[in-house]
Amino acid sequence: MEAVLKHKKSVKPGVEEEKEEILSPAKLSWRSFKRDKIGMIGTVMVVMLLGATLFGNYFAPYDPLQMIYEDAFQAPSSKHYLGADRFGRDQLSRVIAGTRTSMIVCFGAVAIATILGIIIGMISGYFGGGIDSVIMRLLDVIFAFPTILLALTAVAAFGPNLLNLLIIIGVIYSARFARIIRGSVLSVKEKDFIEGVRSVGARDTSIMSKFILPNVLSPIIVQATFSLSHAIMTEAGLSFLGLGTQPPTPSWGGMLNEAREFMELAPWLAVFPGLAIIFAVLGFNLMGDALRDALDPRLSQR
Amino acid sequence: MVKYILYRLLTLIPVLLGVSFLVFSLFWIVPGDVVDIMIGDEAFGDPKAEEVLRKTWHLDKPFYIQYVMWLGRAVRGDLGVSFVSGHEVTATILDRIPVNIQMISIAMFLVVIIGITVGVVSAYRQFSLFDHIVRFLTTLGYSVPNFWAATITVLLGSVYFRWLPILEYVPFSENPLANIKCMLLPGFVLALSTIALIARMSRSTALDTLRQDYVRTARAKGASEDVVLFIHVLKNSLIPVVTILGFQVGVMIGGFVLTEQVFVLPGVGSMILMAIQERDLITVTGGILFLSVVFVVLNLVVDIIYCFLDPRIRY
Repeated sequence: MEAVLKHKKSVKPGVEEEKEEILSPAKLSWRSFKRDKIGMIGTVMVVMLLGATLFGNYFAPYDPLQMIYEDAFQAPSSKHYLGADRFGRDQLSRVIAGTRTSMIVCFGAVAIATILGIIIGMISGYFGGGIDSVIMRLLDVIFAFPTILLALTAVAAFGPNLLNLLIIIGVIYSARFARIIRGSVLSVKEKDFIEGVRSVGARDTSIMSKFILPNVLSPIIVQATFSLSHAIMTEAGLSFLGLGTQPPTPSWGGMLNEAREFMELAPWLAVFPGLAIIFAVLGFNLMGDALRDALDPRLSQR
Repeated sequence: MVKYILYRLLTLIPVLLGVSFLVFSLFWIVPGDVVDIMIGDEAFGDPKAEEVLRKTWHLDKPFYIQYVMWLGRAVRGDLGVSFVSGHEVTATILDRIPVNIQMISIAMFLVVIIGITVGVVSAYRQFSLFDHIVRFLTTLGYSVPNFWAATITVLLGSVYFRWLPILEYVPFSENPLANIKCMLLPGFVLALSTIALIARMSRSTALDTLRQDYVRTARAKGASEDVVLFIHVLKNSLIPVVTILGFQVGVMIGGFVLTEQVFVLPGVGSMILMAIQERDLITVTGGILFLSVVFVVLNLVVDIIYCFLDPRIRY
């Protein structure tokens, strides 16, 4: 049963023709995704975040690093919409600048995790046997650690800065990707068309890249979106502990940490960076939920 | 059943070995000579002191011998002596662990009571106002960073509402009632994202179960009350939830460090954090090893429970 959509298309003014459009699974997924209103809200939120990353500098009223000592601890006012911290730095500008830090870390980490995960998962799933067992055992060891603890110690060992954070989170997350991809590769590997392609003499690498990879994309996309939201949380958490991006680089977690000292003086300092984190994580989560519902193979069979 | 447990215990060993190996290699990854870090400021640059240190801690021996010696001591419960505090690491951990046990017990309790109940009821009353509110709150709850929730709680408690007595840590031996009261909030904050996640999972699995044919059959058969049905649905829909619970325990263990920081609790998490800041490698490795072993063992327990729950699993 093909999914077919009939719609009228106007060829010339006044003349209508009935056009049949065969909906491939990709198109079906895209339509399902577009229809999910909550997912759309999430996507809009993500787009706003990306916009803040790229164009935030133009909208921020002040330089996030600029210290205006007279304004220190100012409550939200017309001069500083979100208030000012102990050095008189404008909170609104810092929150916007913090978006860039979070986005760089989370996209960078997930990029590393995806690429590493695909390579490891593909090798493990495709070649199977001994290699598979060894890799799975190694992944089990990584899964035996709570993520934050592992990231904590690795960052402590290698030094807390943006790049290290990115790489470490990426490597840790790649284990999850590898496991998911391996599972998908195992199921796709058994399909008939793979056997057909192999009997025609295709090389292993081209089988993996041209035939298996496109078919395991959907769980990768879903997992990537959720990993993006987790990465934001992890980065914020590590910065909160002082082991992430170092001051004066604005980071939401770091701003929360600084705010903790002066909670009685300036309680608003603790509120807004947290709201920013919630906004970002929520956006990716909503988008991920919608993507998962859209790409779920069960739904497309109904 | 017994075979399955034995099989799982057997696979535990290579994982634990790998975990201990990874933790131990921390000593070697840290840039700079370990001896310099351990010597501290006073004896820095003194070759004789370095010699003594190296001999005492067998640092002159190759990596794998050191690892085996360390592992041998660790298995017997000796995690070393911290250079910074002078105390035995194992003793410090045991001193601090009751805090963590309390936190995670309260957290698990809340997760099961609130999370599963809300999720299943929400599935039962799908499309109702309750359901919509639950879906909204759980999506939101899953997106809230627990250290922010903790900070806001402390903020509200200390600045706006006079909850201060609840926020100061009191050990169990001093005053049991006050102790439980002051652990409630940290336990809740620790459990927050897990409650949201478990509520969503329970809801979706309960929905799936309710659609199954055997539920319809049970109803058609005239299963006496919905209570009986409730039991069937509950038991079967909880099986996938239990698997996630194992992973979430790890997340909560990871959350120890953050939660303890905000609520200023003397637990294992803050011990590790302080040790990291003081470059106290021995305590760091000991603490991380301890938590990881606990996590692995707890996962095993969860898997075994899962085995009991799901009659389809037979090894």
